[in-house]
Amino acid sequence: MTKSAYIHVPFCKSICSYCDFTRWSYQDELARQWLLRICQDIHTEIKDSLDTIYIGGGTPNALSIEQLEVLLAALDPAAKNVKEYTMEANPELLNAECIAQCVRHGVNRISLGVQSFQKDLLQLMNRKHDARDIFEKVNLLHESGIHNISVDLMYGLPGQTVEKWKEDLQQAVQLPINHISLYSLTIEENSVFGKQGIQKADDELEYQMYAEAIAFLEKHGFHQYEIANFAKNNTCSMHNLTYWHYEDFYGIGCGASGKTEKGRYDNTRDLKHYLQYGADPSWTLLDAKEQMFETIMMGLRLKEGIDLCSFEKRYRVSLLEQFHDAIMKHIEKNLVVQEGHLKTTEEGKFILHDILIDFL
Amino acid sequence: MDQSHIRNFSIIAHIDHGKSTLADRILELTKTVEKREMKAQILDSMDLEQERGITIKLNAVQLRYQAKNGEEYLFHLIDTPGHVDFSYEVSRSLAACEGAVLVVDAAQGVEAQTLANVYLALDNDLEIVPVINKIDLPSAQPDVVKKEIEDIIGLDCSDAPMISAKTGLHVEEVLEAIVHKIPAPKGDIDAPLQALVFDSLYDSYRGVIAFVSIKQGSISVGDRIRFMASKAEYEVLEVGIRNPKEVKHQTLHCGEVGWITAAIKDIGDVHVGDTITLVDNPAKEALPGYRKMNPMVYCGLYPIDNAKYNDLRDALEKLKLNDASLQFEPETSQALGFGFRCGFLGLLHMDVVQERIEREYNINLIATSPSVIYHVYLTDGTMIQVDNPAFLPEPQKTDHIEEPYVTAQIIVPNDYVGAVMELCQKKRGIYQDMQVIDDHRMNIVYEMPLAEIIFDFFDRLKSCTKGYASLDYELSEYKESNLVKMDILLNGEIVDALSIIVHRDFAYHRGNQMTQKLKELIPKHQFEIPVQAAIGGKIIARTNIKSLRKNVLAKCYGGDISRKKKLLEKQKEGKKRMKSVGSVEIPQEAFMAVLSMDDE
Repeated sequence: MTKSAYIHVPFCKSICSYCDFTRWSYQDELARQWLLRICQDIHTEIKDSLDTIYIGGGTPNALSIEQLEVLLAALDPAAKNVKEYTMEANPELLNAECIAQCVRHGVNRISLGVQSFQKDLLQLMNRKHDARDIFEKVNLLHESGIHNISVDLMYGLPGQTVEKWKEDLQQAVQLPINHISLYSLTIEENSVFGKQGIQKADDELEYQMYAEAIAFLEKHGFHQYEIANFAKNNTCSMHNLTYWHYEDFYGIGCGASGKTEKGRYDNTRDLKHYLQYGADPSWTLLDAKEQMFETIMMGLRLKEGIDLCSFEKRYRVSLLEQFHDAIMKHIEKNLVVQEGHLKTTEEGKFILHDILIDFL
Repeated sequence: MDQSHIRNFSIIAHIDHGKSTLADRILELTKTVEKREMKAQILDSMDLEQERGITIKLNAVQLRYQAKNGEEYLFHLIDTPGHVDFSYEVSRSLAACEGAVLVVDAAQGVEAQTLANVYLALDNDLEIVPVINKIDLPSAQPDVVKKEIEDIIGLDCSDAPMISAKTGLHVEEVLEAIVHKIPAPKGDIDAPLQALVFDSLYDSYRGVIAFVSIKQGSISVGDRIRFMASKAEYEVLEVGIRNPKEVKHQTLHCGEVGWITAAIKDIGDVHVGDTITLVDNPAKEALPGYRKMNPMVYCGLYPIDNAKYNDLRDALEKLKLNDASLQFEPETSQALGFGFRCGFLGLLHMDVVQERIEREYNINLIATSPSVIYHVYLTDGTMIQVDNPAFLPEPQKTDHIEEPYVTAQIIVPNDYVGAVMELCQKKRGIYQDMQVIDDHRMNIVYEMPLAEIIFDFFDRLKSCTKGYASLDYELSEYKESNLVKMDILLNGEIVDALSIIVHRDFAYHRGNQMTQKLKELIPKHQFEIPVQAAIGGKIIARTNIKSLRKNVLAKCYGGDISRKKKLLEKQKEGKKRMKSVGSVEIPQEAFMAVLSMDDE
């Protein structure tokens, strides 16, 4: 039974330079029409009450208070017994009214798009907040009753040095938060950066920043549980674990993706199309072999790796036998089997992409 | 048809002066090909020829022309390639003719290959009919070009047809000139058969199809024939002509140009340039002109997938059949496994063969960097020929090395003379001569090492003259040079397929360029890879391909699975096109790195 749902809000007040997601500049009328569609989708798609809900974007809090109210209300039945209910938010758009509204509907986790504390880098990314916003809004969240808070940070940005990156990390750990996600900049062809011809940072520099961050965050109580995610006191993102455990989830709305036991689907990324014809998902049906690969691709991202027993139970073949050659090629140096799990070593973690190619 | 009404001719021209277009118009005018069947450049039948707009393989077509004097003439048109690499093919086709139509672009004038082709035609005692083409161009200067032809070549152009092959203007005059100026074939129809083989191709059902020009006597279905050079004997099964479709006849008479089949399964029996005669009534001697063309450029060809070795041999054998100048023999490389050392007339020829193998035979190839033939004199007084840098003997055993030089003629507008001389000088050229062609062009003659020409000389020449220079060259002699073998070491091990022979003075520079280029082309591995260039164990250049430190998808959530997986699949595909040598994966392009180095 599907226990998780991802809801995509495809609107932003401004467009970030690195982003090529499904997003449009917010317009009141467009958002109103979109809302009609997505509420319908929520009612027809989601049949049960869910364990986790994640409202992402875009920028969910680019919606007006009234519009957000309609969306959250539509999700009320699904959220009846929800354990983790996350909404992404941009710091500068967050206010007490909005937070109170979220809390009223059961939202218990906020993921803040911080990216950096540095003025120049924020400007480069076309982010509209500053360092003060971040501290204020995190405090505001606590005051309003949300204590499960995550922030996103980015490294490998044009002109960013290891020193600057350390300053960002230093500021982040001083916030009263329990979860941090770190993303190295990828240049997407259709993003502003991509169109400007900006180059990705050298992998050596990225390596330094990443290694620095892992050590630093560990020292400050944030334990890495996934390639890009760190949590204090085991407050891992339940919703995201669904992905990494390769379990089923609903994808609701224009630009969202979902998964069932038959395969994956990607809803239309074209907002006009969505308004006219609905989600119109394009399906990728997957046979057992493909599903096994995807289980590995997602599972090896976790520090705990892949549970060999549950893999065997799910696919009725042994992971170690099925992927014998690929595993033998990397065993000990990049991969290890420990306590019934296949996982990457400290070294292997940095080059997971290379390892995965051998599993294809 | 009466022999006096036969005309055998070729069209010769510098590349792009409109040779194939003129051939198309002639086919149309003589109604050989219906207009509706007409596709541009119909004689260029290979895909590759039409794509690149060049003629590689020659074609012989029979056509009938109703002349203005009311009589019908039988024409055999033999198309020729225009690129400098294929001069042998030009000479073969010229040997089958009595005359040549020389096409000169009215805007460009005489170019290097115009001259080279005229000399070939004169060598074959051909009557040359000059034609000024492209007179419809706004930049056409037909009178200037006519004077040029008269001054430089010494041909009378007073009544040369002034045409536009593109629009068809005055093309009829060309046909009339062929009738009146080119002599009929002289051979005696009652004498013993002498048929010149000027091309051949292989058909898996009928065996070798040999293209012949009947110089004397006649050949019929059922005749017992002998190839005079290879001594092979066969019974003729089919004879015929092309128009350009194949048409079967009973007999080919003296003066005609056509094809024969004789269930010849052994490709080695048919040499282009050989003479066919009858077993019962043999000719006393073979026709002259059987010249073996020797390749000038060698490279190793290896299948990426080792299992395709036999397929590659098969492909090379088939290609060799109608490409007499292609040579190959098995070769083994420690790095690349089993492959073939192949000899070519030039770089374009090499390119074309490679592309045909990849395309027509579906074999992915690695080509090693091209080499010329070196004459290596050993300390014991003997000389060996080396066409593969990996096999150059130890310096201790070598007395001296000679390399082939060519005489290069470069025709260039006055404004670029300085640039061209600088380039030639940089490529170890020795200045020979300079002639004024006309008010604004010079003919510069340099003696240059062939090795420098085959690398990137032509491209560089084109770029330093904005495309205005034209080049022709012929082998002159072997000269002693201070040459050394430069090895490339990856991860401490010599990769034999990457070794090159360089002039000692350039070794340091080349070594640096080569290592830098390889650093760019070889992807990072999980370990650091030293890239070194060495001469006889001494390292002269070094760089490192740093180890891959981080390669992990930044983030991967539910919506990312599709495209992240696609990314992985794409990289997996890329890996398949690499060759692993030791522990290093080397992409195809790296083996040709020496060709793509930026000199500045």
